[in-house]
Amino acid sequence: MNLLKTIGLFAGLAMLTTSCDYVSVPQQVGGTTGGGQDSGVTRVVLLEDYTGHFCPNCPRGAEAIDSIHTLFGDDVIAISIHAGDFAKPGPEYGLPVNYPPNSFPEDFRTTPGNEWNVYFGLFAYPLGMVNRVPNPTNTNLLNLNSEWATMVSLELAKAPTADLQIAPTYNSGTRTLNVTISGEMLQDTSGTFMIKTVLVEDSIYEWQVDNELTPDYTQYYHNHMLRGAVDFPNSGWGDQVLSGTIAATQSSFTKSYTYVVNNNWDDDHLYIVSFLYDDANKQILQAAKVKLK
Amino acid sequence: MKKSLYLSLLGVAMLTTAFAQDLSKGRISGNFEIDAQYYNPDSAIGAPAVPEKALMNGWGNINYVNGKFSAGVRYESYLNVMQGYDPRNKGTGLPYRFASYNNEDLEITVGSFYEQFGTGLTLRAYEDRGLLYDNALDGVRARFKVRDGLYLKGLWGKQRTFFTTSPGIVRGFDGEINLNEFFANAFDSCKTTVILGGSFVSKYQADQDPSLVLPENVGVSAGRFNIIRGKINFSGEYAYKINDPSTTNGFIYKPGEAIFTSLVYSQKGLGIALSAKRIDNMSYRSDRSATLTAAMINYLPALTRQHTYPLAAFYPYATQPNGEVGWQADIGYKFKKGTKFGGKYGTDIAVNYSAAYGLDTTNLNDENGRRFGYSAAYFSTGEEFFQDINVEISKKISKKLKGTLLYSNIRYNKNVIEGKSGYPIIASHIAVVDIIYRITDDVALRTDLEHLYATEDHGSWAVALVELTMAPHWFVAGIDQYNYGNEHVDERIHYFSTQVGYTRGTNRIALGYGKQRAGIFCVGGVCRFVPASNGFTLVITSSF
Repeated sequence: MNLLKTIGLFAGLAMLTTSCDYVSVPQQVGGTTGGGQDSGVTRVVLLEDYTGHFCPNCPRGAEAIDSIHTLFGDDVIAISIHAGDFAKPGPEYGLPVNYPPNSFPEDFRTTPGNEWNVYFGLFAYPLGMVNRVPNPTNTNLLNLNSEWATMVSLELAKAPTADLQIAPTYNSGTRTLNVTISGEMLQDTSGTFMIKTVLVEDSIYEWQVDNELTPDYTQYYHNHMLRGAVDFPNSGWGDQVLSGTIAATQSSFTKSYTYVVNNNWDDDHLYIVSFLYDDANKQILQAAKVKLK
Repeated sequence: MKKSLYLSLLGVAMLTTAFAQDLSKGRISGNFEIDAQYYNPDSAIGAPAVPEKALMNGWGNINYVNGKFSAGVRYESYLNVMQGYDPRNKGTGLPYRFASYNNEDLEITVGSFYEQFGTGLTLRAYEDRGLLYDNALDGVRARFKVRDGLYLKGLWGKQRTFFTTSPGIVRGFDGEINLNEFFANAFDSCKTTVILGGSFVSKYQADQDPSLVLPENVGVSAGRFNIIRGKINFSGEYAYKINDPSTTNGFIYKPGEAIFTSLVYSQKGLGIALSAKRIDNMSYRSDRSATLTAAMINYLPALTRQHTYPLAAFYPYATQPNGEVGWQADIGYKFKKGTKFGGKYGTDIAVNYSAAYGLDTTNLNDENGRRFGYSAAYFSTGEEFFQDINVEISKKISKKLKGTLLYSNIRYNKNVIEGKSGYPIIASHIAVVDIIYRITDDVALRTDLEHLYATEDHGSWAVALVELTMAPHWFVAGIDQYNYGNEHVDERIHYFSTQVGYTRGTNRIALGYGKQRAGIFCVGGVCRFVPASNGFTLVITSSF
């Protein structure tokens, strides 16, 4: 019977230590804080949303980004990257029987986006990365939209380690962009660091599959859509700015690019996004965003 | 004192005892399987170019048993994982390894293990290697037979998700009492067997959400019964889950519940099974952000017939964990030899009916309040999810010839089951004629002709399969699935595949070539595109 008592004790202990948490007020009390600051620099987080116009659940990713912007404002920069099979144009995807003829004609895929899609191993959509940092709760680099807000808040709570500024000049007549990216490290470090500069566009009114609608396709506003890279248009990887052992006091860098904006893009809704990342693990240290004009 | 220390010393004792035993007296067994495919791009069916050209899924189990001690490992290698499977399986490793010792009715297992409490409504850790589904627990488990009729189980661990474990910790306890065995004297002359059981499972996952207060400890409890008398077996289980906001349920805080009941009558030549269930918000995972089939702690059975014929299995049902009501009736009858319908060898007939509906819900619009999401009526149903009415007749016609006829009428809600919207219910009629003709004692020819009629989705399909078996070593098979009824003429494609296999003892090698159609797989808020494929396949299996 001693053994029986031991088992009983074991079971009782298990019950006690596995108590249930009843939540009567689900909402967090108080506002959120973010944008860790140091020397007047605000930490800005990059959220990459991998999506496609044939992806039935991807509008939920866009909604999550809207909520995150409401929570954290401009401390978060979102890029929606159309890539993978769901992003193929209609004829290439094999337009479903019940869809309107000639719908989904646009190919929103980009060379950098396609490269990242393969490099980071996207396997389902929508999935996203926050600063390309693994989720501390499950070590996943690619996370569902329900995880993005938590990850953004965790990243924003960290002190900024770098500053990044974008200075554009844009000629509307020739649609030529000259942009200078400058920055510096806020602490001593070592490694190889790169910047990548891209264009994103808001308010693109085009087709999208949405499984919460009947019928499950519509036309709606695609926002923060990756259009292309300003620095190296045919690559997802950026420009090296710092390497080796780096003293913060001697870490200033500047890079300039000239880029002719595609005539099919609405330059009233274009933004320049630049981010500084560690070339070893691709993790992002700082990001910045300004309007094209 | 000696016994009271038993548990705490058991881990050490188990290992020292094992090593103290003569290893040569133990028995080693195992099995091995490798599936590989070479992929050809095929623009006609949309099969993409695969950078690796060829992909492979392989694994091998090695188990050792020596008296009361057993241990085992499974090596798995997916380089890279074949198309159609979750690519997160990519990699190699030893994700499954265990050691177990059973002494004086107490069995302790450390490492990986599978387990089920009751029907699985609270916990079921299991594997299906063909689907690469594996939610084994990694931790410790104790099973104890207290005395005749009283059985206890306890476990503590983390769940496998691909080559890692999910972030949540799972703790569980299950008890079962067989009253007839436990009170042997009192129930000695009782013809009714009564078994009662209960289980409690809790998971822990930290909360770091910036906008919601998420419960870190979420428990599920269940009670069950099983009454057996003669030819009748009546069983049921009820489970209740506290607030468990997750990606699957849209982060609502409504408690979940599930009820399952089954009544079976069985006698020689006749079997009747009636079962029903109601599920409301019962997705239960050890990672609240997991989707698809990852990190599922419990199991919600689908009360539908699992068809094996390709076209009958074309529109399969999957349990909807957020809410459904379902029932099934299954009747099997054998007409005896020498009767009008039985003929010379007898005739088997099986009739099956199953249906699943959504819950009758009312939206509460309380996102900024307690976030229960909806309320559900108990005795009414909502949207139709699925229905299958099928009749199968199997008959041996002569010593050389036997056949099976199947008719199935399936109604399939693509919007719910595949996570889409805007599609009508797909109403399909499927007919199957399966004939096996034994040419000689060692050679048999099987012909399977199938037809699926539908006006929705991809339209109608026809299938022809021919399989020649030359016992004991060889088989050759070819199958053509033709989507002749597709509304788009250029998509009326033949998906042809063929396979040849060689078996010797417990070894089997099969080589094939063929095409597989594309599909979309959506579960729990994310979608995965399973591309079409065209290429050679190789399957090798072996056991010892």
